[in-house]
Amino acid sequence: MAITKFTTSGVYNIVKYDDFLAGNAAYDPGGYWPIASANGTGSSGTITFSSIPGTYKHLQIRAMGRTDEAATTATNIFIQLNGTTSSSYAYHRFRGDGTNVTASGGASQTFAYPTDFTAAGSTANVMGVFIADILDYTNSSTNKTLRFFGGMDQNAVATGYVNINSSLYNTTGAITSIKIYASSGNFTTSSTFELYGIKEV
Amino acid sequence: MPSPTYVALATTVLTGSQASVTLSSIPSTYTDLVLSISVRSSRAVAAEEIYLLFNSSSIPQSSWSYTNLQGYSSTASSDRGTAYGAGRIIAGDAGSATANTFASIELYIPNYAGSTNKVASVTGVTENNSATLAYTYATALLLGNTAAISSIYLQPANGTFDSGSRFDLYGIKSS
Repeated sequence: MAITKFTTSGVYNIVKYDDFLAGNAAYDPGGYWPIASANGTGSSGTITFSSIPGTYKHLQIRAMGRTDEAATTATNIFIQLNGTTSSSYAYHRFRGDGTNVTASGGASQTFAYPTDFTAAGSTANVMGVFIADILDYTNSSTNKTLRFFGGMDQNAVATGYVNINSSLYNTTGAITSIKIYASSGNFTTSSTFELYGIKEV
Repeated sequence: MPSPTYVALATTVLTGSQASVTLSSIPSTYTDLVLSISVRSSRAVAAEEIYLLFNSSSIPQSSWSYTNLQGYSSTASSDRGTAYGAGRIIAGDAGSATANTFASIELYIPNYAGSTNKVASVTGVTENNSATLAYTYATALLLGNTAAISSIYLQPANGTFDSGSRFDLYGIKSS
């Protein structure tokens, strides 16, 4: 039978609401939100997250990747922000390779430096990983500091690293795009890149 | 309806210089805490240590210890200490670092409302447009005290926190 009319006739203690929550609390999905994700294609060494909304307070990237760079077991992975390719970056690398621990850095660079990924010469099906945090990414009056934690292991048969790295983007202004790229080669199709937004209260 | 597992609990953003920051009235309804810090302080050096207290704003607070792994300039090192009067956050950016540049630090504080001694892992970096004058570090902190954490106090070892420094506290729930 089709409904042709709503009526409150015969309904007692009726309460009317102005919205569909009907007195219930709104669902709070929390402070950690997925913004975008991307996979390697096998034919490109670049992933770009663009049109990043300014509605969060911090950004986090979680990436797992490998390149097809030949004749090596590790490929440098770099980041550029907002399309900036000039010498507006600095990096600091703190690395353990299973034997030695080293620290190094560079000023006036053309990229941020999170970590290395495995490459064509690496143990099969082994990936590199990194987590990148960019705090206060919409602040228009501060430079941006990138904090990285990453590494790769190849079952002790080839190069392995663990890194705590940092980079300075020596430019103020909100971050609206992030380019992640391999110094050489293409990202394999098993490579994944996830961008998250973290809210404040 | 699922409940959120990563919840923003408190945010403090400084609009002027300030000697210390306290995040108080932390509810005990989460499993772990995450404290995200973007910070710069006033002392005329490239980087400055930050002191951390739980449930107190009075230094010294007895029974802190730490184990630290750090890179600075071209030197990698590790150290540890006991009987400290505060938790050591190894470095934040300070007055001589590149202008408008803030350190990025995260504290993970597991089981903060439980009855075990309180621990935290710290991962932090300072930045500077310099090949050498920056820290990267990972630190394990222990406070030999079993009280649930209801407040977190931070202050630079010297000087004041700069305007624009921010402190975001998150609660993490288990299933």
